[in-house]
Amino acid sequence: MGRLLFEPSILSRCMAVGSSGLAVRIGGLLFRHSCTIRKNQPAIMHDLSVQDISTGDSSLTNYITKIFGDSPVAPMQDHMEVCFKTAKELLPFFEKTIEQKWDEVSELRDRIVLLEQEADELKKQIRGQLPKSMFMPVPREDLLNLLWAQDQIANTVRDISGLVVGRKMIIPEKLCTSFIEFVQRNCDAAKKACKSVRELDELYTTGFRGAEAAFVEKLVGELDVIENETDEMQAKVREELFKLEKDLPPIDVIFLYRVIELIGEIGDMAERIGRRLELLLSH
Amino acid sequence: MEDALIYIALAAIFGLFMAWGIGANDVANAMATSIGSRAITVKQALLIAAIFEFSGAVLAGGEVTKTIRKGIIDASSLTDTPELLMFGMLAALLAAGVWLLIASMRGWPVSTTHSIVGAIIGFAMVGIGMDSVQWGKVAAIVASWVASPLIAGILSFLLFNSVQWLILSRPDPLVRAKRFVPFYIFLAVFMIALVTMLKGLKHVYIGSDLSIFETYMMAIGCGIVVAVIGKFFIQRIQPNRKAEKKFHYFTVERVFAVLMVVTACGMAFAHGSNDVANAIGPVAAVISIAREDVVTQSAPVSIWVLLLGGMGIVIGLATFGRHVIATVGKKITHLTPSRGFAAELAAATTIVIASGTGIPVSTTHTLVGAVLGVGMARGISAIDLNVVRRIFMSWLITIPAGAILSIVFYFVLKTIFS
Repeated sequence: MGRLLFEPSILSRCMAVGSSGLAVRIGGLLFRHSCTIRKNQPAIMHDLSVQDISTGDSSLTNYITKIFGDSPVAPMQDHMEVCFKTAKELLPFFEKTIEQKWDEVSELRDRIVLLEQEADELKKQIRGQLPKSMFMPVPREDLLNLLWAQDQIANTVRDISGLVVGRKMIIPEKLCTSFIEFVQRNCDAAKKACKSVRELDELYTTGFRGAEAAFVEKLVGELDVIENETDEMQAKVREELFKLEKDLPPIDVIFLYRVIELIGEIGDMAERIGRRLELLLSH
Repeated sequence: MEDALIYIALAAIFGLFMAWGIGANDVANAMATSIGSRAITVKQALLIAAIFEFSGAVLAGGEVTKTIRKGIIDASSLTDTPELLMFGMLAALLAAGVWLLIASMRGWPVSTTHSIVGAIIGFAMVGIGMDSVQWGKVAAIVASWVASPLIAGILSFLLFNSVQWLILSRPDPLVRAKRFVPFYIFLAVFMIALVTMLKGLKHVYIGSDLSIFETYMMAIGCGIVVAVIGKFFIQRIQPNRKAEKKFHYFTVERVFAVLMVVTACGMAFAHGSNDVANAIGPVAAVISIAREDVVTQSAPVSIWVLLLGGMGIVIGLATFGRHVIATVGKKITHLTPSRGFAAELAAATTIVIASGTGIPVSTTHTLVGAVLGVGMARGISAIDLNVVRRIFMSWLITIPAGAILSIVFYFVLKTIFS
């Protein structure tokens, strides 16, 4: 494959890939690639494939194939992977925050922003390929709601990192252990949600029933257990913070409460992903 | 009849032209689901299409040919002026061929069946008279255009539900797929062989002396032989653990891919049996008039006419059709073999039964109906209903278009030859 020249606007979108891949649609061609982009290094492209997805009215096209819309399943799963990757950055992010290594913290913040942008791109692509005329085995609204919940994980992580970096937030030493535990458990919830969404292609294959449906229900059950734990941990972290708050600058405390709340939202969103999957099963 | 040879030659050329058009464009629709699901390669598709379209046309195309030839027009009013019917049939062939060519160039989803039926009704209404059209028969044909996608849809819905229930929803889908897929192969071969032997073979003068019992036994025998061959290939499939990690049903789908090779053959056979008649029915009519100088109602279809149609399709496939099929191969459809086979088996069965009863149906519409049936069983991730609507609506335009073109050609031919 020869050299590909992208317009600057497209190139910037490609740069937003982070460490995974992105599909760029130019005209009727879909460029899929996976590449590694690290800061201050040339991008390493692992794999680039070009797929002709033009459905234009050119002659010699076959109309039976035109009745099959682009399946939303693989893009939905790609989107969830990216959102989970974003959530995974949160643990190193807070570890560095506690150590107050602000350079590294802002580097991690940059990665999170890039990943969140990638998730947004995928979200737009999925929405674009689901016009109302599509006849699908699941209601369009349920699928879009699932997509929204997935995307909300990436958004929340970005908001958290923005708050922390912007305020150079200091996490009280006495709070650290339970705080990191709390972050970890919320990431676990996101991981379980991701694992559940990975079963989406299998669910489509089996027609949302039988052994595969039972398996997904089991995963969602496990997800609920984790989410319950995050709720308990959140209460515990807030309790500890409450004991410390009189010795801390009041505004810092207000934002610390806000960050804790946002971290808890990751678990809530993961749980909501589980609910949406269950809805898909029940139709 | 003077000029008899000229008429026969013209009919053969026009018939070949239309058969070529069917091979160039329509066959791709019949093969699309198989290639799109990656069950067979483009090369294999071409080979399957060439062999089975041809055999479908020759072995099972006779009954529909008869309908096109003399089922739509009541020729009894034409005993004094048989050449009018001849001009009409030539005009209809030319009209349908030209209309198909235009539509193929523009990428419009038109059906060969609708074109030729519209063309024949057109010239008969204007050139001969309203009474000359057998409206009862036409009504039955039009009703079948609604019924055939519906029946195929119900069949594919039931088939895919059975696949879900027997195989996909179970904890051990691979074991079950290997166990049950040979039965589906048997079912596909049995159905097609049975209808062909009951209804089609009498036109090629073989097998017509078999009793009903012997026919059933033969069909069962064919089914068992192919199922055993299929089982041999299925047993050799080894689980691909690496691919299964990413997609658990990878190996299961490969088992279904074996089945889909069989249904692809069935689809090509069904298409050949029904659509080739569109091209050669009028040819057969012209030949019998030119030869015997009377509007005969009983002469059988000569085998060489069936051969002509089969050849036309293969030539169309070789010259133009492979490009169309190659474009299908490039497009990635999300129709895995477990769904594709259900759609194809349902469509092929419906079409072959229609062929056996002599009803010209639209292959494309029947297949789309079958795909929708799988969709109703929650089998397909996304179907664009706008495109479906456009395909179904296209016949409303095709019939008048074919009719008007054939009226024009009819008067042109009449002026030239008399």
